[in-house]
Amino acid sequence: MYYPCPVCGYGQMTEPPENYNICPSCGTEFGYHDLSTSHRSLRNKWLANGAKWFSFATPKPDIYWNGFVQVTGAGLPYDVPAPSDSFKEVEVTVPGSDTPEMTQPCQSR
Amino acid sequence: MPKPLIFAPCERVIIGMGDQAASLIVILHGLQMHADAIPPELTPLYRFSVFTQWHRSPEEEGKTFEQRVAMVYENESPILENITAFKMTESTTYRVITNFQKFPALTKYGEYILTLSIRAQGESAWPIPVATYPLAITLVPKATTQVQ
Repeated sequence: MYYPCPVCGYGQMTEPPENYNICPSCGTEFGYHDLSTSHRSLRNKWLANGAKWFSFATPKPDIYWNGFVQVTGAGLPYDVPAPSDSFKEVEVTVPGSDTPEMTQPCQSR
Repeated sequence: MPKPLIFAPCERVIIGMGDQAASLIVILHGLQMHADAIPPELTPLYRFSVFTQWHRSPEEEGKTFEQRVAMVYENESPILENITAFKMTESTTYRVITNFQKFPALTKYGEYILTLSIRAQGESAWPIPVATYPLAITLVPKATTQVQ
């Protein structure tokens, strides 16, 4: 059985977020870090520091893992700006006349 | 310099809403022109994308680079060129999706080459391409097309 982290939204904690269990994603130690600090404040602090994966023992879910995406996907609110993504998409206008010729791609096999 | 992991032209690139994983739709290796002969200047109305994925070393985090995608025919001047600057973030990989609204004007059929170059932002010269991708432009006579 998995438990969701109420700070970062990581959904595969193997122990409940209590009794000094530590989230491998954000590193929150429940019962210690959240004793006098709200989960939202801990979340903001983690995100503001780059939302880096905490655990060395538990690997990231995948190479495209993104802490902001994880928090957003879990529907958790936060108050810091999201960083730029790890990809860029650009639109390129190609000069030249528009000659309506039939074309068909040759697919890679 | 970052290392190229993927350099591929395709019809479309889809980025997942949640995991931001990239999917390439119809990877190209050429284009068939359904015509009897290439007119003096032909611009195929074929939208395509070029997907590049870079892998950085630890010391390249936070640095800005420029990638150049060009299309050449043999040793002639590029008929298509795009330069995109990007900053390597915390992620060890960075993906650039370049969407071309159509093919550049073609005057010959045969093998065109897509080239990929990279330099640090601020450098003036482009080093030799780090990757090339051949694209075969072939002519399919209209008569043959009708028989099919």
